[in-house]
Amino acid sequence: MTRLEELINLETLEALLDGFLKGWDGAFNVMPVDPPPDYLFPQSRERFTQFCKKVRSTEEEYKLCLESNRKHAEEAAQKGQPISHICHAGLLEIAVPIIVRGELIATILCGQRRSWNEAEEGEGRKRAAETERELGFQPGELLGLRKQTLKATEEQLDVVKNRLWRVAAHISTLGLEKIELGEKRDELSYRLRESEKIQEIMRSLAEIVQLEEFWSKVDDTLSRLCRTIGASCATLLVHDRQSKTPPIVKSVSGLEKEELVKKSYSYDDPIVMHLLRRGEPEIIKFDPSIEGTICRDIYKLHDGRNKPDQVVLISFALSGEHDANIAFFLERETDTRASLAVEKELDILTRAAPQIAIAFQNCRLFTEQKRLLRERDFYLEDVSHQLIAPLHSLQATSVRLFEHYHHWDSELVDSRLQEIINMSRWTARLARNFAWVVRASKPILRKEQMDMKGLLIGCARDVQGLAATKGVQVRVDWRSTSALPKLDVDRDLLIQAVVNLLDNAVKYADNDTEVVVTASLGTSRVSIAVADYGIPIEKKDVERIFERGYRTDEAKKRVAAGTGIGLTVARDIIRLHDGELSTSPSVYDKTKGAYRTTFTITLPRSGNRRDHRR
Amino acid sequence: MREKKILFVDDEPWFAGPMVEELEEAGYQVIFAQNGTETLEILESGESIDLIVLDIMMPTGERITDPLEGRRTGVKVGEFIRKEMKSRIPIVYLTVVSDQAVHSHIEQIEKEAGLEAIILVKPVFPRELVDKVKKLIGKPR
Repeated sequence: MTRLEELINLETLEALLDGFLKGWDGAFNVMPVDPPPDYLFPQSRERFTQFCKKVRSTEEEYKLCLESNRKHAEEAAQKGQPISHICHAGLLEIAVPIIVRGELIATILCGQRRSWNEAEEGEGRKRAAETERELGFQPGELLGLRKQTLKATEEQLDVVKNRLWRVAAHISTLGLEKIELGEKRDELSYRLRESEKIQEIMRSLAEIVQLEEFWSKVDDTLSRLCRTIGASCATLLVHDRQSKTPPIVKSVSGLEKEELVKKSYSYDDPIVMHLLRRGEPEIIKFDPSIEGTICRDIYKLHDGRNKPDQVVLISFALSGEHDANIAFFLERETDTRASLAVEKELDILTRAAPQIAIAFQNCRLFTEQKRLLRERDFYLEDVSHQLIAPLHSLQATSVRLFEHYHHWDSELVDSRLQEIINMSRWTARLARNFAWVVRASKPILRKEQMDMKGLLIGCARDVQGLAATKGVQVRVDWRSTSALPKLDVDRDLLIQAVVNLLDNAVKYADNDTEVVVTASLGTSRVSIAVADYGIPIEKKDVERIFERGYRTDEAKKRVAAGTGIGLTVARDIIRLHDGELSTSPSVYDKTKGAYRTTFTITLPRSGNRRDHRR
Repeated sequence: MREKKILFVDDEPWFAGPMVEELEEAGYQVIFAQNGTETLEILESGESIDLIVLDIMMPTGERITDPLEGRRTGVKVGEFIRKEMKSRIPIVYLTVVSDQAVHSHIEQIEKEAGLEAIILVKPVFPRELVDKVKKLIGKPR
């Protein structure tokens, strides 16, 4: 309840009333709605008439006066205007209500004069005599004092009423302004607090940096948004446009029960429909009547009380492939401020949605970046493994040769020296492969006419070391390769490509099988095929097998991670020669009881493009 | 007394050659496994093995799963030997992996079994390996 002193300074009021009441011989008094028993304002009784001073001299009588004042104040408040009448002790009294927005704040009372009206004067005398008797004054004592009190004329009374009414109206206006200002201030600070909370929520969304964090943080964010706007709970539905499965609830906030998470809902669900439409943000009726809908499930999860009756909905694109919607479930409130909030919730959701989408996308980028970095680390580890393993072997072989050559027979020494040569070439080829993939530009080909059969046999020798450990025979088909013409190729590069192919074939071949190199001649092109029997290539792997680092599922289990660049480099080299390197799904060979995989190099009969066209 | 037998686990026997030769010359008997699953099968077959030289980056085979596509197979095998098979057979990790996290993981596995982790990071001189083996299981006979 607003108090008078909140609206106007009381000393100012007293001075104001003093001025307005000049010439009125009698006291005035401003009384709040519930005055304490000894209430008196203004404090001084200076302006009191002798009659009133006498009447109010005892505590008992003071209470009676106050009671009479209160009764008149109530009546004036009910009428909503100034009234005048004869008080309990027999004098005129004016009551002027100060009302602010329908609420009585205080009453200005003024009087202590006899009435010009004979009937009122008669009534006054009668009441004074009764009071004199009741309070045990000497007979005639009060009546005598009353007689000394001045009579007010009708005109005087009207002037005072009007003046006081103007004062009351002024205070009412002040009060109204003050109350409205206060309310505005409250509303503003409420909005400010709310907006600070929302800003904080948005900031925390911006700080999410990992996709794993995203779902838990978005849960937390929605919970806090629920608390901020007074929603009972919220759901976040996500739909993957690629998969044909219905949208899934990824987060439920505000409810302790989590059974809705990961649940999917049919395309008929009104909330799902909104998600798919990606329509304008809207407020819809909470309808728990249909079994199997989100509203129904939310309804069941509420324990009887505070069941929501409306849903604030917004749908948005979470990423390039994902649509999402957030639904806030709210109970309509009777409070004006709260019912205003429903519109505000749409506003909040409209602001939160893009933030959530940005956070989601940032997370995906960050996670992708982390994955790439991890991949890079593993790649470097693979590379060092690939290089250190043969170097380690080279070192061990050399050390052993150095320590033992004086007592080893020459054959053993020769074989170890050959081993060292093989391994060095092997390691050098690996190093060249790495150099190939990290180089910025394509190398210039240094072409020369090459005898292909000799080149292929040399390549086969290069992989002999590895092949021998698996009992794999690398055989260059004599007849078909003898028919190959000389080709214009970069010798070193072509050897690298072929050895890469042979290395790959040996690596994925079953133990004790054969890797065969055959050739065939076309009118303008020649083909060289490398076939092995071992881990097959499936149809789905055929194109991807040339991608850097790609390995088939079976290869992952059976062969340690290599550098994954051998085939990539081989294809690059062959293409630089205007040729092609291809493969096809492995074919089961009944006679061998194994899958045969073939990689085929096709090269122009002349390595020179212009010659070839002519 | 029988010859002491070493299970040498490496997917590239070509590169393992000189190390194996050195062990054999020192008098140890060496048998091979080329992936994680083969290693377990040999150990479970009841064949008496005195020590394992274990590579880390190698294929898993069917029974071992390694989310890193075989890059940590050896650690998974070591963990299986200690935790599932409850075996305290000495293991010498012989690897190019120098990642501290992997080493700590191995140390943790060995510590839980009350053992000290032995990790040799390649390149390693053949003699170093033999010395380490001798220290762990003594002379070949």
